[in-house]
Amino acid sequence: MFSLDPSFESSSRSSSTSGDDWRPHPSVKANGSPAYENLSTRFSIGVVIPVGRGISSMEEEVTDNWTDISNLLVTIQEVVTEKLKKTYVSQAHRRNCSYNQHSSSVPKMPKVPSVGNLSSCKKMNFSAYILQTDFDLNQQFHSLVRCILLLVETPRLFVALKESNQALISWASAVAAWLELKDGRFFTADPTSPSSEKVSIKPGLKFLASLFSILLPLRKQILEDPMNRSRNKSVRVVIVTGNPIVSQKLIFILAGLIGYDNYVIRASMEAATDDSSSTDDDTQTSTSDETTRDVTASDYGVSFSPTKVLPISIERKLSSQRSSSDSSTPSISPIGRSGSSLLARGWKVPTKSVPIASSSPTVQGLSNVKAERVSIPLLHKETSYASLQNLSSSYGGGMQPQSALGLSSSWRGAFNFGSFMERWKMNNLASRGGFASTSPPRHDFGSIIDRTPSPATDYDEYPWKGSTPGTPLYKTLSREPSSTFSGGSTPTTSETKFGSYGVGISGPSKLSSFNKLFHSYVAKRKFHVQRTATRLISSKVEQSKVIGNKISAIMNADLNFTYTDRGDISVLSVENEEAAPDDDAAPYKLPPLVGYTEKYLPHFSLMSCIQPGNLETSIFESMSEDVRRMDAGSVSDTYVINLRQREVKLFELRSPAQDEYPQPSMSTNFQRSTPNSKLTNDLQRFKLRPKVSLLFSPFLQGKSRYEQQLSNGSTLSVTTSAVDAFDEKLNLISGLINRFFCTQSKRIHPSGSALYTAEDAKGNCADIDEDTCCDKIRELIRTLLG
Amino acid sequence: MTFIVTLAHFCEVHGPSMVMCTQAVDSSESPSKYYGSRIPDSQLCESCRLKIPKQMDAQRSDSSGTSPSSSTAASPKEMPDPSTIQTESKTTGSTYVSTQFPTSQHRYSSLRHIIMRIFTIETSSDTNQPLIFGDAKAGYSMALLFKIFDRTARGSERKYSIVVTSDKENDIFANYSLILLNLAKTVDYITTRSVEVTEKAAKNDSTNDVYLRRSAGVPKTKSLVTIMDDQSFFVRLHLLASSLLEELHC
Repeated sequence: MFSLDPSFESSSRSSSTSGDDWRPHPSVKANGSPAYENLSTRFSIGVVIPVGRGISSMEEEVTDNWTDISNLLVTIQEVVTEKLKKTYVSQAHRRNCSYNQHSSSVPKMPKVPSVGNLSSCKKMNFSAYILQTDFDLNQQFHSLVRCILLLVETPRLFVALKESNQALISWASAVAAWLELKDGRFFTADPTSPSSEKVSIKPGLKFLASLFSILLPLRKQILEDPMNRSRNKSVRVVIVTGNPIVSQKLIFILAGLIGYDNYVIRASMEAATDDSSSTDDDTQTSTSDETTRDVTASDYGVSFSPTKVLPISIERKLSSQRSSSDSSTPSISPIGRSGSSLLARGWKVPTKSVPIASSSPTVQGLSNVKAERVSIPLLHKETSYASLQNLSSSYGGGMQPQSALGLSSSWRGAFNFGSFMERWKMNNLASRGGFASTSPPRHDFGSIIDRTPSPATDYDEYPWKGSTPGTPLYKTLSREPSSTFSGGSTPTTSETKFGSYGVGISGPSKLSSFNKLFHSYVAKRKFHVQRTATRLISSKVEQSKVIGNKISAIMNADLNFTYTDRGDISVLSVENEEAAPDDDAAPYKLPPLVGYTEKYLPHFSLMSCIQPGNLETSIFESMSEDVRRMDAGSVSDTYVINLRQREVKLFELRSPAQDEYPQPSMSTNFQRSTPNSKLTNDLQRFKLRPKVSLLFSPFLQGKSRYEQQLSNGSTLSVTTSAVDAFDEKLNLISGLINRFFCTQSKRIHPSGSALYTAEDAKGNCADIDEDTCCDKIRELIRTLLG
Repeated sequence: MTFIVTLAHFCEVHGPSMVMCTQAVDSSESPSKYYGSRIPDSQLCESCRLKIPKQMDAQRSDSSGTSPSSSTAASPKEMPDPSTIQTESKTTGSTYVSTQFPTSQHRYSSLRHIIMRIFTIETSSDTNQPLIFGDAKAGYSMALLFKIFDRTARGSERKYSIVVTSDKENDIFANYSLILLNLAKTVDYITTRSVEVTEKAAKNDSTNDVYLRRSAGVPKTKSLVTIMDDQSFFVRLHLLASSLLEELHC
């Protein structure tokens, strides 16, 4: 609720009457009361957010996103105020003109009533439906609904490297794969890999190391809410790519390291550990019970259970469930809420919104890749790097129309949104090639709610993973049309546990089994964490029970009183015999790091999104809003990582002086009609133009040292020595994980038939077990974090 | 971070009123600043008054479960009636002080404003759901209303509310589940217990006054101490509020 008077001036409530011992702070600073409260017209903005009855639902959809919702409400309030002010001024102008026509021939400028003549002013009157038909306001309401939807549908990341060996092994594997395939480093333990012959020939890029050297010092700021107005600096990291798969890997690597100290599995959250059956072939290969599979056979160790609340969302199923042999069980899914289906995949960068227009690279898509698209320096066609770049391009092409439509597909997809052709293509893909053997026939046209997405929309693994037996790795890497390539992207039941690979593999399939092993190792210890999109939760039943017991104990306790005389006041002192509250049971809100999003979301501090034409504009606008929200002297930084160009840019915007704040975001037409002249607006825009600095580029890598002098006076230096230090540690991590997989390979294939008896690229293939490997990697991570 | 836990009541005589408020006093502050002075009986009715067991009451109630120990600071007859309950935290170092009203004028006026809103302006279609509201002047509150059945009350019900107020909007939302679970369980206990007491009293009541005397139907003010049949009820409620504040790291 807010009030306006004809002065259209607002006072800050918090500073007006509050005392020293009671200074309430709103989530978002807003001038809610009119400057002169005696004469005011009241307005209110109402938003109905449908939530489930459960506490978790309320937390996930409202309370955890309250700052963002508040921000939007305040923006709407500002827009309404400006609109009404403009209308009121024009009304006053007309009144003055008509008055002046009668009284004098000299026209006078319209004037907003000042304090002195407030009492003589009439109440503000506006014509009916003045706001209902307003375009800007409608736009604001649309953006509010869209924002809430996206916040609810985009689960935050949780990458528990500290506790979960599984997550750590996956993380280290991703780092090793990135260094090898994206940065062009060759130290794989795979002797048959075409790249192993080129060890140390090329230095490769130090993109990942450079990225760490830039972002790790900022990790505390990245973990904070970028929309928090109480800060004086907001930091965002945006990965721009056309290939959500590759960007998800990078997000996973970054989030794991940035949130290393914050992502903690508390004892109260841990529901299942030490699954002794993790290597049992029978239990894994014959899992007809998809519920069990989703929860315990998560590929990355930490699996999640969604809460049972049913808010706005529409239920979806994991596409991998369709690999089940039972095609007649479309709704066994344990998932009770939208997007939670993807949460069940463990650490995997969760994306609730699976783009309906996106698809796996198909046979045609790969064969049509043109080499001339590659324009990256230091790039050689024969490397896997090149194939990935092409893949990235082709994949991005498929994503563009989707983003232009601005569709959030998880629920829209469930309701068969999108063109018929898109849906037909998706369905057609499912019955083609590699999918044919694993996918049951689709009979989902009649059932809207239980519609299962195509595997094509669920492509979530490295494209270089040659996962089908009999497909040599080099065939995939050399971009040969592989009929089974896309089929490998959808995990089948038999691929989920590494134990199944040891059976009956011979000849060329050994290689593919290593790849499976590399990507699908299941650690001994697994965690089962309950979570929502925004937080990890301890069992609410347990928390409720603990509180109930506490209350019952206090209400039935024998109390010991002590009376103390303090002058004319008598004080009764009583001891609380109940045990101290257990902090461990407190819910843990996840930091605003998310995976792939369809569009740029300023509410998150780490995300990846495709690069539509207006991405930079969106980023600039959000930064401008940041500095407008925060106090004077505040800074808004956005690190934009362009995977295609391998560039890291810093957009930096400092807050202007108090009187230079820009108007709230409104349409250009409205801004033109505001009293400010065009020159003033242009000047404001010029002052708020962010400074862009190039922090990393393949062109700059050769230089010994380059510095970026930031506008706030601080110097961000990226020295080659620092990068080398990061690079060295990353190489050690890669070496360790390769050794570990080498050991695993030996275990699966006993002497004589072992895949890897030779030395690896580092010349060391000594056996290393899971715990030792993970401990060493964690040590290295700690040194990385300083 | 500042939280205040308040028990509010819609009194048939005085309207929305504050019965007890519990505040956390930081270890760096002196709790005596928060002690409330005794309010004359004439200013408050039975329903509104914070009834803290007197030393004599406590000794009398020794047989009914509580086991108070006398202070050596003064003899029972010399001691004024207690107006403050306090508990020291074993973990945070804070002291939790419960009084009828807060001593701070700003807090008092804010809480009065909040309580007035709870019983008059803010409504919910489902009274079992909490109310969350606030502004930058009075602070931000989460309140859970509840009704206690009582034949001697107007409309046979007495309205109460437990309110948790914070000076920071974000803190209320960040601790939503913790606050709500505590409030809900406390309310659940109070309503269940009051029903048990009423049923027990009805069984033991062999008189027919309610039918024979006209005055028996006139609404009467009644303290929660009587409704709950527990002289130490407000002390227990103070302990619950203290426990919640401790969990909120106050």
